[in-house]
Amino acid sequence: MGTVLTPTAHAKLVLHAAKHPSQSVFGLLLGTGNEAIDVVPVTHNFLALSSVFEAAIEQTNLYAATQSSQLRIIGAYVANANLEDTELSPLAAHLALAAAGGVDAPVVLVIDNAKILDGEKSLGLLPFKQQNGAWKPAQGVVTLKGDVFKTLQLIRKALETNCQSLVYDFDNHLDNAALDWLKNGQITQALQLKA
Amino acid sequence: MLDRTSLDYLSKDLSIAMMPGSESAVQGNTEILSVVGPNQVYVDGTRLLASGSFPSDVERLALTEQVIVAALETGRIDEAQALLAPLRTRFETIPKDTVQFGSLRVARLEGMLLEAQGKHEAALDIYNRALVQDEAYAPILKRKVGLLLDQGKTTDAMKELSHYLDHFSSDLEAWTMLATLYLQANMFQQAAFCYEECMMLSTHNYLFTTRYAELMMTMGKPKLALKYFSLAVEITASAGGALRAWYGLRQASKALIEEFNASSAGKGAGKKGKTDVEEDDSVSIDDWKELNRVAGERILGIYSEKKAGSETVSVVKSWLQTV
Repeated sequence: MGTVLTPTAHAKLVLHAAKHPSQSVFGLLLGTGNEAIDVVPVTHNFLALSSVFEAAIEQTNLYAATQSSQLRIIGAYVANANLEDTELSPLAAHLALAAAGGVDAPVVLVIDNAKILDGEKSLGLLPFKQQNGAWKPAQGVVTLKGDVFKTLQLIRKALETNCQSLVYDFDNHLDNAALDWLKNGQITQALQLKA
Repeated sequence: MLDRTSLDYLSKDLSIAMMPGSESAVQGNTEILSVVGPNQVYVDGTRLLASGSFPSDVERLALTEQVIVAALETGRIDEAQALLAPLRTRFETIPKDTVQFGSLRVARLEGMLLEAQGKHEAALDIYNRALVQDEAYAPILKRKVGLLLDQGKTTDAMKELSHYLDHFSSDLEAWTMLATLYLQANMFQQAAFCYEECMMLSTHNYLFTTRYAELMMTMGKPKLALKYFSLAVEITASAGGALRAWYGLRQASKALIEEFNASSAGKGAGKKGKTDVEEDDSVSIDDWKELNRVAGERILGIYSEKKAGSETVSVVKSWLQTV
């Protein structure tokens, strides 16, 4: 019932948020059903600038289609700028709905900034889903696939070595077209993640 | 030390664009460097303080101030406290009449330290007392805004910042901050006003022009958006036009083409009753189509120049077929 994340998805998400500690970040979840296989970081300047999001969402959709016929946008993740703010921003909800149009129940994962690096106790991700038109905290816990301990250890070490500087979002991409924001292959390589 | 303020000065000469609050500086289509982050400032700064000799005391103190702020930004509270102690003794506070602090700059640092420790009320007290001493001390006026934001009091912060800007209307950083706050609250008209001030204060900076254009798109004003994306392209002409601006140009022109096609069966009857600001008969449907085409060409050109990966390029090509 709850959302499942692969190590790659979780690592990229955490690193994206860690790269911009005092700003709000937003990205899209790619996967099937309730499993997020990968994430695509979109912005670290989370403002209602529709044309930017339209381009990002459209290109993410096209990218997903090239990877696998099953892969689609199943939701989004967002981290608020304020440390203690764990509310679901209406903009994030609106975008998740627009982006994950083809999916039954898009999920928005709000990053609990204070808990995201806690570790095994909780992943620090608060899932939200629509129920009768209104967005509410979702049933079920967010879980991590594979060796949880090892993945969290990898992430911790990555943060110590400033790996988060290697995460590129669409915003970065618009400043420098050479940056690969869709796949972020350099992260997977740096972390030597398997799936 | 290359920090945000000196970079803004550079930008006037070398057409490096930077938006206050962003982490990178952009020149055309290259992210040329990242503003030196607080961690770097701390590490290099402490080394300099320990071993460097300074031409004057003022410089040493200025560096200490920078390092303290960097320490607070990176969570090194104890180190910040240690650096602040000698400043406290140096600029001793002697209460006499309304004078509270020996130095308002040190008072600001004291307040920031308290904020970093989560003692918001104590910090606010310091700031208020400092403002009694000098009601127009800008750094502390701005610190108050930051404090309110930290406490989640966004509306109060907006009010304070607005009030501050009534008096300090050429503070680009403040206008950008206020624009962001308005935008986060979906107050688009007000945000647009702020960005207009930003554009007037830094006409050479295409990032503001582009941001304004993107806001116009959000507000459903593609004609205005087109104008400002075009302006952004003009500003960055020496680099072939910034990717961000070309993207916007492509999207704005497409929006106008669609609007045109949808109205009066494409007979070009135009929109009666629209505000005259947006009506501009000097630009026609053919111009929009041409702009749209050129934008597409330039976008692919930039991807090719930057040697972007083939996967990325094919996604962009597919995207261009939809917009």
